Amino acid sequence: MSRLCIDLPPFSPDYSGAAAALFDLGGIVVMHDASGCTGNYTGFDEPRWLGSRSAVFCSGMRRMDAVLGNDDKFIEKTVEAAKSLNPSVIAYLGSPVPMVIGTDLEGMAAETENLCGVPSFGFNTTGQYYYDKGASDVFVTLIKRFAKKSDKPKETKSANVLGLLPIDFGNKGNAERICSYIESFGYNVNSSFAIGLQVEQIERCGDADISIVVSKSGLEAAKLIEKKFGVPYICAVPLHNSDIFEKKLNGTYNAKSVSGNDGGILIIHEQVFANSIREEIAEKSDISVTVAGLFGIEKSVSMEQDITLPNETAVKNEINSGKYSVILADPLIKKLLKRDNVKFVSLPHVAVSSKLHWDEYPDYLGQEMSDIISVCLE
Amino acid sequence: MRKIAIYGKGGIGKSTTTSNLSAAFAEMGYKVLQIGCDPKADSTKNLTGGKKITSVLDAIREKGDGGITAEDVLFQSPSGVWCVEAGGPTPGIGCAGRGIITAFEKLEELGAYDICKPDIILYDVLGDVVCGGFAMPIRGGYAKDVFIVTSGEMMALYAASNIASAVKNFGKRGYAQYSGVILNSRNVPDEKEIVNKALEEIGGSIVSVVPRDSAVQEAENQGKTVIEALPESEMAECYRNLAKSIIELTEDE
Repeated sequence: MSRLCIDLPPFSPDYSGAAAALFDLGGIVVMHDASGCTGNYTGFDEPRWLGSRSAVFCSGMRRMDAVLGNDDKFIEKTVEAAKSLNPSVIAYLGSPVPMVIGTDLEGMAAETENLCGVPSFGFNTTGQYYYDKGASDVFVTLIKRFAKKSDKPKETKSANVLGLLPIDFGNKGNAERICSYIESFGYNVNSSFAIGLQVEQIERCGDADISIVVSKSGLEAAKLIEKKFGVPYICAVPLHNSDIFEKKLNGTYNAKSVSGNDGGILIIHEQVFANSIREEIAEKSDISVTVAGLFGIEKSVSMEQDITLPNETAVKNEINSGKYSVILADPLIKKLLKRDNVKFVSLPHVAVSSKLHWDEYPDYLGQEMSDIISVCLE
Repeated sequence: MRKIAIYGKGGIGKSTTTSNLSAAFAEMGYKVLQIGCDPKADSTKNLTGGKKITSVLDAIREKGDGGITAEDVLFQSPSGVWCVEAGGPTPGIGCAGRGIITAFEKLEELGAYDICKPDIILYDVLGDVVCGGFAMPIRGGYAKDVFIVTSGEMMALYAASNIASAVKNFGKRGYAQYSGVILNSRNVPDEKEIVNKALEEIGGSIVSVVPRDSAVQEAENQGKTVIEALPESEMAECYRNLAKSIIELTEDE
């Protein structure tokens, strides 16, 4: 019961992250569930869903399918759909029931691929983990399957953008602006994992000069691309009126982070984005900043004071601990704050508040972001 | 690495055969990992002096999902065989098949295979391929060859037929192959002929005939394999020959 949420909604699960990572690929995504998980993804975790043509299906699994293990039925349906949709890939995503009965999703994918020739994947998402793991697993699997080094001579510098998901970056154009910003430094966006992702982009991700990890879900992909193709990576989200991103891109950035957490700022958000805000604050002041993750903290990009807040009680305890004068977090978290002397700055996160605030994201490269940083420095 | 699953009807002698195979492989100089996939968690008992080791699910039950280490579930027998028991839920409740899946996932998470670095992995699997959990050892990445232990008794052959067809069915997914049967004799009249007749329908052939011999019981009473307890016996030689046949029939990957 320690994970019980009373005021906060359930956060985006791994199958939503996996489906989001596959959304633009022009494939067929089959969520193997009764319909609740598919509805959760399309209705609450995917701002791109309404008006889109992405082929995300629910398998419509029923009690007797679970009892009898009707894999063939689902494979036949998928193969039939593939005949008319000509998908680039086919992916089966798991949910709690397939996890419990041990459905062999990778095996189903192998059979599907044998029958229709379309590259097929089974992802053992379970609903027990968060969106970042689901997306990360998809990125890594796709890179292992499709990425190849080309011998073509390169004309311009190019960059992979890794971890660009609406679940993190919202519905107000931040993702597009980040790509344009990268291009303003003379880089072609070679591949964008995952908004706008195409199979050809995955194939050529090893040709890039640099990978830019913009959220935790892109980190494992960056490590894999570096290992396979020697492409270095940086972790950064560009922010308005800040030259840190440019310095990281040029390899001239020297971190000025401040340790400790008493009297400082707490940022509860996606880790790479939160780190970028911290780095900007550190350029302008010596206020200590703690980054807290609701979905876990990746050690390799964290500071000593950073923490995981695994449940609502932990969030409540931390924000009311008296250690912080400013808290940046999703608007829903404000309800848990009981102290009057703490300044709360809203930073929507789709993974937390879903459609309630996904149209209220600040422009990360606009004045709104500078204003947020200024509030932290007051 | 050779990855081998031993299936067969309950009580047919899978664990006895598998443990003796493990001991024989170890004697031949191979590094062996035996994974018992039976909720009773007694597959490796004869390798560990008759004592049951802590199963993966028992360790999870005791220390919590995030609290266990490889050392909690990985044991080395006096003969050098690495032993793991998947274990099972509380009898009468829970889900044994899901338990096998959980144990396999946990072993990977703990890096058990990197610690043992086995040349041969033997999966000793309970009874029939009754559900997704008990099919886990023959799914992608685990066993490559499946041997079925049977006798000439009708129920054992019926189970062998079921298992063989399940393995063949999984062939569409590029998984393990059915590599033959081990005839664990029950002294049924014309036993070899009966099994050969059944194999005309099931497919495959007899890899080796293991005769019924009191040496097995004598060794078990000491909590040992025949290879260790009675190394000079005919029965020990029989298991050594079976081990050699399996090496010839399987590929090192």
